[in-house]
Amino acid sequence: MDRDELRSAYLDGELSVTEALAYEKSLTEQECAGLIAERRFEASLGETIRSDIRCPDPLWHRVKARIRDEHRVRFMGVGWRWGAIGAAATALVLISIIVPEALRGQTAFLEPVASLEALRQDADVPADLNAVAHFLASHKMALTLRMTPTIRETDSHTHQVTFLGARERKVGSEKVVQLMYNCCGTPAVVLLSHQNTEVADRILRASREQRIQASRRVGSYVVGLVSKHHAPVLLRLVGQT
Amino acid sequence: MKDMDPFLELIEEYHDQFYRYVYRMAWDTGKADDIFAEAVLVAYQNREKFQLGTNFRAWMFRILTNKCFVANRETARAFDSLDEKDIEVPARGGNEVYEAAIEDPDAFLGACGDEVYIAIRALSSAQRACLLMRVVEGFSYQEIANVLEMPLGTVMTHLARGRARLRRELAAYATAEGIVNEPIRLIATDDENKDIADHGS
Repeated sequence: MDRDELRSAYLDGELSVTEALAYEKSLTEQECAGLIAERRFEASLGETIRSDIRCPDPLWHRVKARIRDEHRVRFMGVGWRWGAIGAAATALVLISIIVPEALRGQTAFLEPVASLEALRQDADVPADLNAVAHFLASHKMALTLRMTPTIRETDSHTHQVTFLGARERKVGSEKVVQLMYNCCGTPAVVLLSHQNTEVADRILRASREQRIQASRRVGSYVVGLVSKHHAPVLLRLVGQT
Repeated sequence: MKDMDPFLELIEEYHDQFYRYVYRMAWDTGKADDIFAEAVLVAYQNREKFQLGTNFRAWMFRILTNKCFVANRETARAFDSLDEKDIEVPARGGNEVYEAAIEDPDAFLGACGDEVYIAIRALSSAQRACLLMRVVEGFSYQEIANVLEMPLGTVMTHLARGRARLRRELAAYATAEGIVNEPIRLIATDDENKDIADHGS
């Protein structure tokens, strides 16, 4: 036992009488005062810590409820147990049907549209700059749209672009604005969302995971491109006012 | 339900102590609720393993401690390599030694505020566990050794080093913040005397 351990054990009263007496004899006056101070300090510290934290009542009630639930399940009869297993299986089947359906509804806006015809028919707003400007304003989006029949992607490829109109779609409790294009004969949808929203997060995540063609931030908005045709340059048609 | 109630009552009697320990042991206090809940449930599930008439608090503290270590990988790593960590001598200036003389512990603690908890959290997991069990919960060395499943001598080492580190941290804070106005009385411990001797200071 080194001197520090001896000191600590003495403070805790863990030394035998002989050891304690021997230790006391070896103390200088300064050490003695230090020990007294430390004993008082630790008593205070212990008291402070003991009184400053209590288990929050809601937490304790939750834990007790879980224990009671566990106890109930454990002591249910075999019949009950089979009943519970049956109910769980039914719930599992229902969940396996309902959850994917709900998720599909939340991610459908990230899937490419099958045909140009479907896109045309679904437009809420015609391919008119003024109408689209009003539409964007009604969604509190300070964005401008540039119209162009062609847009160059690379030196070797220029896209043929026709604007088909705009629409809005619900995604959970939020809305996403969609600008619809015919890009080189393929349906292309530019998604618009305010940043820091669930929709914006989904767009950015889908882009990172390469489930959509591209995404970018335009001021305080996030835009994304959904198409089977690779034309990220389409996103440059959207600018902030 | 008959066999549940006495055990639950036993836990209920001490649940504030258990929670307090977890709260101070967990590296991330935000996880304290989850660790506590999990530990209590595990204890309940294993209640048949507890022998009536033996030390219930020590039995529970072993589960709580294990849960705290598991919940925090960093803490667990510190626990695994505690000897290495404890031997490490903190950087000091040539004639620096530690131990502040504390004339009024209550006033000192009040002035230090949350710094006390910060200093406790700066201890290694084993030092913190030993100190909390000893100073706050009043366990004997042997009980702590049983809870942590380590030799009694190791418990003594952790306590001694934990205390020294705590004193040092608080003394440094008190000096820097002007809490201790009087000149601090300093006493070198064995480790530091050796260190000073090794460096020829």
